[in-house]
Amino acid sequence: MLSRIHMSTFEELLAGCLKQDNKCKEMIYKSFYGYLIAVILRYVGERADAEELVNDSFIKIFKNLHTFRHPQDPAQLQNAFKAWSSRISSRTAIDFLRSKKVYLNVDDIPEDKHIATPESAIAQLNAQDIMKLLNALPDTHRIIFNMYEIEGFSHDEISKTLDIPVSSSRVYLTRAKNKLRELYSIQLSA
Amino acid sequence: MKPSEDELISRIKKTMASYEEPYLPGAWEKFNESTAKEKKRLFGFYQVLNIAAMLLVCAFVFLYVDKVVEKPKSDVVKKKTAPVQRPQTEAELTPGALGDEIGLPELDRSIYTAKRKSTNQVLDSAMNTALAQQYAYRAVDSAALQQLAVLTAPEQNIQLQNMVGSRRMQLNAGPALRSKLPVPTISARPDQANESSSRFESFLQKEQVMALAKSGPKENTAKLDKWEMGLVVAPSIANNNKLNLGYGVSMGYALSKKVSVVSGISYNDMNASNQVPAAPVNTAAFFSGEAKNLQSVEASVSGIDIPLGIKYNLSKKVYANVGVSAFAVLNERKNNTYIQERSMQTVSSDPGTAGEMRIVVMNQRITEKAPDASLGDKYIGFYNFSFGVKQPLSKKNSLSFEPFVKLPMKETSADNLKLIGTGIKLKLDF
Repeated sequence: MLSRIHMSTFEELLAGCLKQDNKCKEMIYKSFYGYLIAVILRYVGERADAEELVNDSFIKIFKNLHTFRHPQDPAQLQNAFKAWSSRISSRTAIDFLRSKKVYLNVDDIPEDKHIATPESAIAQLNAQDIMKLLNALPDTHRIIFNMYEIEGFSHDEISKTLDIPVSSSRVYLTRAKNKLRELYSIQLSA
Repeated sequence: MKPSEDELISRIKKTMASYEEPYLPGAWEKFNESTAKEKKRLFGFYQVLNIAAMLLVCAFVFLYVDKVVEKPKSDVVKKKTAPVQRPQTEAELTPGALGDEIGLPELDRSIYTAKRKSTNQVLDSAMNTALAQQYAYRAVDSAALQQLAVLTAPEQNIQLQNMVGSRRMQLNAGPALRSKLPVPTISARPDQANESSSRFESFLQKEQVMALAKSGPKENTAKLDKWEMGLVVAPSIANNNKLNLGYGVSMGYALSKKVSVVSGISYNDMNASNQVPAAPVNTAAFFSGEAKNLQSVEASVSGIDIPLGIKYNLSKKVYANVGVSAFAVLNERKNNTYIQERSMQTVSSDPGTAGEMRIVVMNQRITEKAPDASLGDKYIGFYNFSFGVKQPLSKKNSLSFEPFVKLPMKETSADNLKLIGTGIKLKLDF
């Protein structure tokens, strides 16, 4: 039988991390490991790389925790921390990709036509199916789609982070969405 | 079909926003270990920096002390040489050789040179009238100038006046004075003016007496110098990065100029830790909340250390030391560190997985006093290796900086602990 231990509030855990309390760090690490490695895996295909990157992310998180701004609503603290830490993780993953020379080529990209997708099957999509769809995208498309649609970066931020024009970011996003629809249609028809 | 397309993207967004991978067992331990290693690496880096800073300070102290010790010595030598009344030979009596041979301090020498010039100007006019007595006058000049070198400025003025006066008298007396000139007379120093020609012999006799008086105590000090006593403070770092302190007295006996036997007695603290290999996870114990694995053993001993070694002097200042020591354990403590695994439940507050129960496993580090604190050995043998730099502080005292390594002859019989000590011994010899 599992013994129930009094759980510290999330705020206390963060305060403990700031005081370099290893127990608090352990709690945070174990609570957010799954979420952050999922963020990284959306950028980096290799699991071994993702495991190293998640640790790098946690090092940055614990090191820069003092810079995390608590939201006005205490109820949103955990979500705010989650968003903040996921941004650190995604940037860590992007830096890794850049170091591996995954070039983000900016070509003249023609506007793609929208591809229709059957509505009924969408609700049945699970996380693994979506991960497969995302992994099938070209690197640049996947990165921009993740950053904009899931992590909530703006096109300006993407432009600065990836060192590409804002217009290219918009075009790549559109292409990524169309590619996803196309891939989804192929998946359905298979 | 636009709505369905938007629905696909929103479905992806929604699913991915709350998607989590399962926790990989051992991930935290791996993370914790790597960060601890990084910290250790940093600690090592800072340690190297500290040692470098210490060496820099030591080097500065050496250089500074060198200057402080050497400067007064050279002053003393110069001051001593100036007033020495040496027996005057014929060569010294010539004015050309005079300035070069008298060991004067730089300032005195410049004053002397200036005075000599003015003196020569005065004397030259007198010498023009009595060319036949040139040699005798030069003898007077040189004797007078030699006296000037040891006199202060006001005295020199009086002396000059007296000398010029006596010269005029000599000039007036003419050739009759010639027979009296070998012994020049100077009114400013009447004590020396009446000295007989046997001054040189008496001076030599005095010198011999002084030399004999000095040689006696020298032999005694040489005998005493064979023994060397000192106070020792030895901070050291153990293999668990803890700082230990040892303090005591040291003594040595010089077998030859190069080789000495050294010994002493000191009170030392020593630490050691040993990591225990990780035991396999006991699942049953974990779920019953009793999983407790021994991670490391840490021991601390204090006692009396008696070293015996050979010291080899590589130069006057640098020496190497090799030896053994017997460490008698007076007090010993032992702590065991355990990793206790504890599980806890948390409730997810995410919109996607709200109310979902989650188990979080936490590792807690517990340090407890070992039930049996004994290391199993009452006497521990060590090998000692060191090299040192000796800096004289005064004639009798010197300060030595001696980096050392203390290696145990064998592991302690309990828990295979290695009591290693590395540090710098500071020794004040007197």
